[in-house]
Amino acid sequence: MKKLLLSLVLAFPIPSAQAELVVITHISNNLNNLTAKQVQDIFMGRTRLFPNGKFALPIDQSSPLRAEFYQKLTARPVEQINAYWARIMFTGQASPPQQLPDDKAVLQTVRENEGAIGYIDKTHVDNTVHILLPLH
Amino acid sequence: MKIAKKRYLYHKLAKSVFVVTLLFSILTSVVFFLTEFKRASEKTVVMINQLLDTVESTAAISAYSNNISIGEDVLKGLLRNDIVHEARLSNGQDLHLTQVRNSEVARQTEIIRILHSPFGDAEVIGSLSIIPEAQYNLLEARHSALSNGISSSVLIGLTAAIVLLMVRSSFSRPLMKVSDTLHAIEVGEQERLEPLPHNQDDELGQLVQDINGLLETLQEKFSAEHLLREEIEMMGQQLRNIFDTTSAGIFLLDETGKLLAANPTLSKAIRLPEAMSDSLLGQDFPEVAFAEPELMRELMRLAAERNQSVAQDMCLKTRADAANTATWVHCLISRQPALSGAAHFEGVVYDITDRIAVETRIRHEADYDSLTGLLRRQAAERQLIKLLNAPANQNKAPAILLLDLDYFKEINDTYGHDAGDYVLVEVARRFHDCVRTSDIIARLGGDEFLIILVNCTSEHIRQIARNIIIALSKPIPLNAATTLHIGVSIGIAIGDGYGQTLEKLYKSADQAMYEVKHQGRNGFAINQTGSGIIVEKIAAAKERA
Repeated sequence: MKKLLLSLVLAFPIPSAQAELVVITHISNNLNNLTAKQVQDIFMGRTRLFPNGKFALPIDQSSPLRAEFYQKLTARPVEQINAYWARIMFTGQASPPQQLPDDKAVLQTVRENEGAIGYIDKTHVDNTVHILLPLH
Repeated sequence: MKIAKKRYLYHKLAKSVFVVTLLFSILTSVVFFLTEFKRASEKTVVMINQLLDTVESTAAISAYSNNISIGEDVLKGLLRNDIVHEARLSNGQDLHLTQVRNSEVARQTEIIRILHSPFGDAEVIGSLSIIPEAQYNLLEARHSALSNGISSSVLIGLTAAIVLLMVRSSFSRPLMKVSDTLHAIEVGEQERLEPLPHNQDDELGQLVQDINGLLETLQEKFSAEHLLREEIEMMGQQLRNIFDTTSAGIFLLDETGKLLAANPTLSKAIRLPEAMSDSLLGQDFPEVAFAEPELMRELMRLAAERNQSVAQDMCLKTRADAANTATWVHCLISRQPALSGAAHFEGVVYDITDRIAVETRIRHEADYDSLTGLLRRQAAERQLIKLLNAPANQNKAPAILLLDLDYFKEINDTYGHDAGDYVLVEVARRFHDCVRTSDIIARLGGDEFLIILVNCTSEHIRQIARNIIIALSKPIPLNAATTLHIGVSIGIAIGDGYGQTLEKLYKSADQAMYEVKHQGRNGFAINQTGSGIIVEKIAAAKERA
């Protein structure tokens, strides 16, 4: 019975909830990894620096992966994240991270910029980038 | 006399009501102010917490993202509320924002809200704090208290005014009317209060009825008292008349006997000369009035001692110009304990001279033989006993002579009782000629006589006896035709002066008499203690008719 239930779950995976995301950065970044909170502070504009003092450039996506990323990182719906940025933007003092269309564009940008930090589906990861945090 | 300003009761009432109302209003206002102040403070806390709820998420974002602009917006927004005096936002790093209202007030307790990260509940990212506006609480409370004070004052004042009006119209006015009418009525007059038309059956109506009843009773009492007073006056006048015109002298003495008061008759009653009667008051009454003042003083002492009225007959002092006869009064006094101060004596004297005269006459008739005027046996014996009981003194010892007429029975039988009586009267006269005035002559009965001699030697006694025998032997002319002859036998006993009894003396005189009769008549014999009986015969001119 138990076996049957497990096989059923494995047989029909839910794509959006199931995708495993990883936070990646430039290969030369000497940071081993980051905590979820450190990633959150960078993406929510609280800090512009990595813990090692280097300048951080967060890169967002406009793909469906975006909602999943924020859900997993902050446990809040993406609408709330948008509202947060809307308030900040209204003051004109800061702006949300730049959005790229898909994992491929993100990978490309991370490879080219030393301070870049982004997220992609784990399946698209290769050894040209450095994984900072896996998000389950 | 200064006429006091008229004061109305309802003015007093109005004043009291006003003061009490004021006090009540102040009291409720104060209580209201205090409770309202407390309530406003609590309300402020609740409202501030609600404000904090409202801005919390925005403030958290500001704190999280270090965004000064958002933070300032939040604080400005908070300051727009009247209840906020000061607002502060801090995230523990670079962000330290403060907004203050520029009003000087006492510091209030700060209300702090801890801010959490918008993306992770557990993380504390700063704090938002608000200091409440104290002025607001005060204003709120003051306003409430004032409005409450005004409304309660108006309510209470209005009620009080209505009550006052009611009291004035239904209580004070009728009372004033009653009071004014009553004021004009004189006690004892016929006038009465008019009954109040609207207050027939209530307390005021009853008051009017009661006052009228009281006036009625008063008038009755007044007239009754008037009648009584007239009666008393009449009675007093009558008593006064009696006091003034009574034949008895009435007097009042102090403790020492000084005359304090007297009626006009007193000076007449004590036979005081006209000239002296004016100055009688203040004089020593016993001294002025009585022949023996000490008797009167004794009477006063007795009255004080027995504490009752005592009476005695008293002889008045003989006046130089009065008749020689003694004047007697009956004096009755009693001691009156005075209500205050010394006691006094009151007394009555009235003339009893006539009564005393009658009494003297009666006593005389009882003591003296009506025929001869000599003492009777009993009176004589009384005097003799008195002499015998006198202190022992041989010289003054009395001697008694028992005399018995000879031939008297024959005269009586021959010439009748009238002749006998005539003889007896003549004999008594002759006895008087033979004895001294101080000696006592008594008729013992029939033809027996007793003569008592005092302070007399035996020789003198003999001489008297002899004289008597000689005097009686002289003839007694009855009428032109008849001359009577009698004789006498005398038995004499001389007392020893040592308290002999009457009987013993009589007996010894009797023995002597017996000897005389035994040896023939017309003689005497003395029975003297120790000497025996010696008979002496007198051979007088013995003529028989």
